[in-house]
Amino acid sequence: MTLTKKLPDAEFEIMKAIWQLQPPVTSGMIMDLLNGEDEKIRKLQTVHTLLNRLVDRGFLRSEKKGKERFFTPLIDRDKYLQFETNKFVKLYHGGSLLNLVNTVYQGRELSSVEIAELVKWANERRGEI
Amino acid sequence: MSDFIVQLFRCSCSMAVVALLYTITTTLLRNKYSPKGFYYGGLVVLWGFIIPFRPNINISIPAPIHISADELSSGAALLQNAFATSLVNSEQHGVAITSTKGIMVAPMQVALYVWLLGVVIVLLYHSLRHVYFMNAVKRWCIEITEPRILAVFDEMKLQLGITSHLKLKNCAFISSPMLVQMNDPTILLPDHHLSAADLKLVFHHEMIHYQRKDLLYKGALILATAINWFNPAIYLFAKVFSHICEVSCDAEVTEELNDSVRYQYAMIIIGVARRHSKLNTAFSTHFYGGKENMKHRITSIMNKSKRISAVLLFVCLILTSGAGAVFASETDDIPIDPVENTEEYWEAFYKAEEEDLKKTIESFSEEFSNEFDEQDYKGMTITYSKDGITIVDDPSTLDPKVMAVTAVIKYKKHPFYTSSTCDSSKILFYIPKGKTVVITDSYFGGATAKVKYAGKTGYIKKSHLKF
Repeated sequence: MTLTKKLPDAEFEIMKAIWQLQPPVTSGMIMDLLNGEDEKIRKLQTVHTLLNRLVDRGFLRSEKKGKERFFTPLIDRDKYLQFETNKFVKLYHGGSLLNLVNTVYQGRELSSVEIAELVKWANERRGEI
Repeated sequence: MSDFIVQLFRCSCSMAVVALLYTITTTLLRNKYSPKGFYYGGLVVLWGFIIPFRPNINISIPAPIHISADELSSGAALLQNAFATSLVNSEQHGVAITSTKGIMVAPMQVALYVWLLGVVIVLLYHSLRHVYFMNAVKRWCIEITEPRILAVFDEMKLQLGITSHLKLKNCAFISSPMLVQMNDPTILLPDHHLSAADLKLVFHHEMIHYQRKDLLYKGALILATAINWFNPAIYLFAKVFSHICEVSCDAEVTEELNDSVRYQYAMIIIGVARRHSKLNTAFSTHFYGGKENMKHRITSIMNKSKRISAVLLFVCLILTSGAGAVFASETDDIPIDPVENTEEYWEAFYKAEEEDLKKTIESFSEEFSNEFDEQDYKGMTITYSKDGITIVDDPSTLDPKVMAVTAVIKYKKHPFYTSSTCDSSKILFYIPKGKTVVITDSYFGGATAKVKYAGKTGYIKKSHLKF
């Protein structure tokens, strides 16, 4: 599945919880985690609605075993993080004019060669002291 | 109102001279003077940019400082005349007023509106960026529950005497640790693993930013940029000052540290730069790009000698307060030569360094003999395990004061390689856990360090070492 759209905040909150837990997870496990760390308490009904939406989007797979439904993430956290970071960087540093401003204002990024140079140089400095 | 805009332009122009002098001194003298002096000096210059009024300047005396300002002040005089005439004219010739107004009043009014528009645009641009960044970061924030990290955090808070609500969170979205203002000031840690010793240094750095209220000064810097948006010097100053902010923070962290911890600290910073994706926010304290700046940060960290500081603060104070009057007439005489010279100097410096780097890579990929001979390890305990591996235990202890950088083997046993490629065929012997090795060279291109152990030089995987 190719990612095209950023998840809405509420659904993302659920995904974040699922990624933190060991799959497969139940809605009860998600409830425990969410209501344990957050000040806003969520209702089971809301969590179920959000879980269903995530299944529809193809982010989760649900299996019924006995009375419980178990959810397994289909999208890896790192993959989604990569997608969101790329999207962010494009907008944040995108546009040629803004890019120009940023280059002037923030300096450029270091290349790996330059970093290697820095390490070497730091080692030399260490030798001098 | 016309007085205000003239005063603003005049002040901004003279602050440009101060900012240039500040940049030149920080570039030329940065290794001689303490970063603290530059930091506080920079704060004074920052306020000079924000407040466009000086107590000791007599506004009524037109000081011809700059061509544009000169035009503007004569414009101000015309404006007063224009008002006087238009008042007289309005009673007699209704049509004449508009034309007089059109020619005389317009320049000052237009200048004011253009300036205000610029201020709004710059502020809006930075606010939008900030909100966009913070939303992205907040989404990815999770509470840290790992007791190991929380213990170090509390220990550092206690050590620095921080009792207020400083929070700690994890955020996979960022690549470097940073201090941000959410509901409470929060230190954000990126996803990658940091050892307890590394965490201590990272927390110390961010907590110093917190104690010095650097987030507030970053905001002030944006305000100064908005007010002086037409002045190129403010962009230069913003860059230099942000860098000085980091360097002086490093200096406070490393003040009492010994060489090997300083080296470790420098390596954390370089490591962060390596991972650094292009995520920055103007409101958060972060690492500044650019090799020269990074190099300066590292020199500064490794430099243990005490440097004088107070003098610079006073120089900046005098320059800023007198900026409007003293430097007003010297705008054209900015000494630019030293900057050009430094650039040439750096160019030559880099060239020499590139050659050095080549040599290092060559020496780093040196290969040693793969023949194991017990005769070479006299006075050491050599054991052979069932799997046929050789373990060499060197009983001699190393004095950490003599050796610049040492590291301890983390795991049960670790192979000692004869080549930087670290192939299993290049294993000479194994080193047992807890043994100290001396690092002679470390290079970020690979995951290996060149080390000395039991009288032999070879390579070890850095991930298996504890600094």
